[in-house]
Amino acid sequence: MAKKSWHLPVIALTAVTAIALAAGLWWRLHSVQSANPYEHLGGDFTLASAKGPVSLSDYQGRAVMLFFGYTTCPDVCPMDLAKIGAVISQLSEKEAQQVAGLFVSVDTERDSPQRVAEYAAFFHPQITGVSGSAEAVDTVARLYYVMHQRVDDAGSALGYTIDHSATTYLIGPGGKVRQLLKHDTSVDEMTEAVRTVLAG
Amino acid sequence: MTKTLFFLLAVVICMSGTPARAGTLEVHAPMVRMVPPSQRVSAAFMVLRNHGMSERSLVAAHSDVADALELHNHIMEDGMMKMRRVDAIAIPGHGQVALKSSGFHIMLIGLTRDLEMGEEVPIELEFADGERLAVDAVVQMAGVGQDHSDHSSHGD
Repeated sequence: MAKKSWHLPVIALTAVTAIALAAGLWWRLHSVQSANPYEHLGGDFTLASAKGPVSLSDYQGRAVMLFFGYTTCPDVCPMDLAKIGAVISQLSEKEAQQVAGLFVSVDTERDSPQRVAEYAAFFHPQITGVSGSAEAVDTVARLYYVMHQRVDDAGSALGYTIDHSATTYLIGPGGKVRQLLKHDTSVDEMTEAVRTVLAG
Repeated sequence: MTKTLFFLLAVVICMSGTPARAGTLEVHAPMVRMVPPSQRVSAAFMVLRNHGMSERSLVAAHSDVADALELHNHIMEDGMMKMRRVDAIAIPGHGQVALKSSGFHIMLIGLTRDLEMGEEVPIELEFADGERLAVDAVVQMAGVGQDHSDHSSHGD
């Protein structure tokens, strides 16, 4: 009898330890599998739009295609915004309701919220243009590891151009960066990526 | 959407059917990128072909559609897109150069009027030897993979 009462707690303790270890191992394996490589990137921010402040968190529950550029950019920015617009147009009506485009201008000197708004909406009404003070935009750019650098050219009628990253950040409904869509990603590939993110 | 694109493509093909030619130089499919009404800059793209033996150099472009026309190049460096003004764009003998998206292009700075889809913008190209070549560039939306500028970049 005494022998039995000594055994029971040990068996119980062993069982509990084994279960805990297994659970820990499962959690670890699972978390490694589902780890988001872009965990360190991004975060919520608020910038100025033509209709008042806009935050990334306003789009909670939707997939957001976020792009940084400037309106005097003649080629790369229109190309990427046109692609974002084409992706939204390509989705079903139901899917499109869960998707938005966000264009952040890094040309805080030339691009007023009004100007960015008009520019972005030209490519698709669901693309919102935002801007802000140099400090505000810089903070957001740092969050997303976006490089942008003003390059003066006194000999050009433009006065200056801005070197900038040409990556579209695909943000999931939870507000986290889920994929980086490079400049040469096709509309079909982008649409596929958006659908994957919407699926969870 | 697809219909519109096919229509635009058809328009482009029709319009680029008769390339502008002067001497040994030929210009194919000249286009100007459609921009939002408030936007005061745009870019022109085209394919320049040199049927002659010696290298030719595009050194300037002129048009009353903008205050200034400049030759620019795009350089993709480590994920950064950089745009730089260039003095000339060389077209090798028996060769061609595509002024295309993410590459060489003619910047139209300070548009003097709003562009309209499908309209033809007259542009005069000036070469190093003084020769001038007039082209009519069609105003088009930024291609999303369908325009010639993208096709020609696939082989890069």
